[in-house]
Amino acid sequence: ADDAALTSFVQRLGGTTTLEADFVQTVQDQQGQVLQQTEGRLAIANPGKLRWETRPPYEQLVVSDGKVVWVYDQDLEQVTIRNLEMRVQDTPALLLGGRQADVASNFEVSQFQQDGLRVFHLIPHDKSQLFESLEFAYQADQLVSMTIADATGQVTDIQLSNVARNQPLDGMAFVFDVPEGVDVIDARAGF
Amino acid sequence: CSLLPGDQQLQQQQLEQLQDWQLRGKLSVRTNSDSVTGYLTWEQQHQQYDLFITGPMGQGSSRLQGNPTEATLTLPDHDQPLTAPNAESLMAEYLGWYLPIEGIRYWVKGQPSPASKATSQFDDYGLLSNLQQNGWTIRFSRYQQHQGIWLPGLIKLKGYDYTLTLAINEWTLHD
Repeated sequence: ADDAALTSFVQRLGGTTTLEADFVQTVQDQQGQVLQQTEGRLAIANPGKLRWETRPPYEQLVVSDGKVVWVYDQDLEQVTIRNLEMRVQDTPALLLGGRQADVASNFEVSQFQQDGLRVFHLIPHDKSQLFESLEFAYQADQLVSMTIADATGQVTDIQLSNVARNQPLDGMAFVFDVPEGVDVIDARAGF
Repeated sequence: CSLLPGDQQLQQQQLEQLQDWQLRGKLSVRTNSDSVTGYLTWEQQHQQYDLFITGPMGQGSSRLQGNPTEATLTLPDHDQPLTAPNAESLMAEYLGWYLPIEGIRYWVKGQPSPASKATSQFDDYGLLSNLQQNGWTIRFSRYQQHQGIWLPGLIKLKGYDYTLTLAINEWTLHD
């Protein structure tokens, strides 16, 4: 494996204690046809804290305090609670949220330059993961985009803008209290 | 077309003619052991369907395409699509849950399926509010008018140890 890439990527992760950004997420099939586009605001803080707010029409709020994840679907009148794990939809947030130690044990890291960006390419050791590769593109120390590719050649591209790094964040952003009258699905294993 | 719904017959006739549409929204599936939530894009042209379901943050997208005689399922962890004559058994085997694909194509519009017996309740505006059909109990709400037709925004189905909830954010009617 490319140790220089691993070290450089882990160093960048380590250099970020909090991250806030607007995102535009585009899912394309292998022919490049856009299947879906959503946008919203994300906030990530060390360790493993996340707030991923997708705006209508695909309204959804994902909040994690670093141990538990709440997924609130207002339109479905439903909240799903589960444990935070190295699962594909938690992985980008987990890595950015300070779990650098997990990178070496879970991924093979390589790097390349593209359009003036330093891109880190991660391939999971565990092939049963739902994704084939993850890419994090940086402009100097600033994360610009994340890309998730799966076995059918489908690519999810998450472009970040208005990025604020290492700014103080309100801790309440990472706590979720369940609204009245909402179906609660508690999917925490062994709860 | 009526601005205010009221006439149950007219409403059902309009739905009957509506055979070519697309909806975008969110689907939640609960079995007694698992629960899945994802974004849904569904294109229906008469008997032909194309459903695309993706998880939050674009993870684990699945696609179900087909017609009453053949179904094809594309999954993130299979690089080859899977085909079978019956969509429901294909989904049950590979997804662990299934959509009652034949009936739901009508129910999603707020219309009982013409293919079998049904017990329906309508609200004061002549819109379908509750339905029992094919072993499913279905509740309809959040009706809104789209291009002159009243269509539901929230549908909850219960049956066979499944609870399915479908929130529809966008309707596009092609007819």
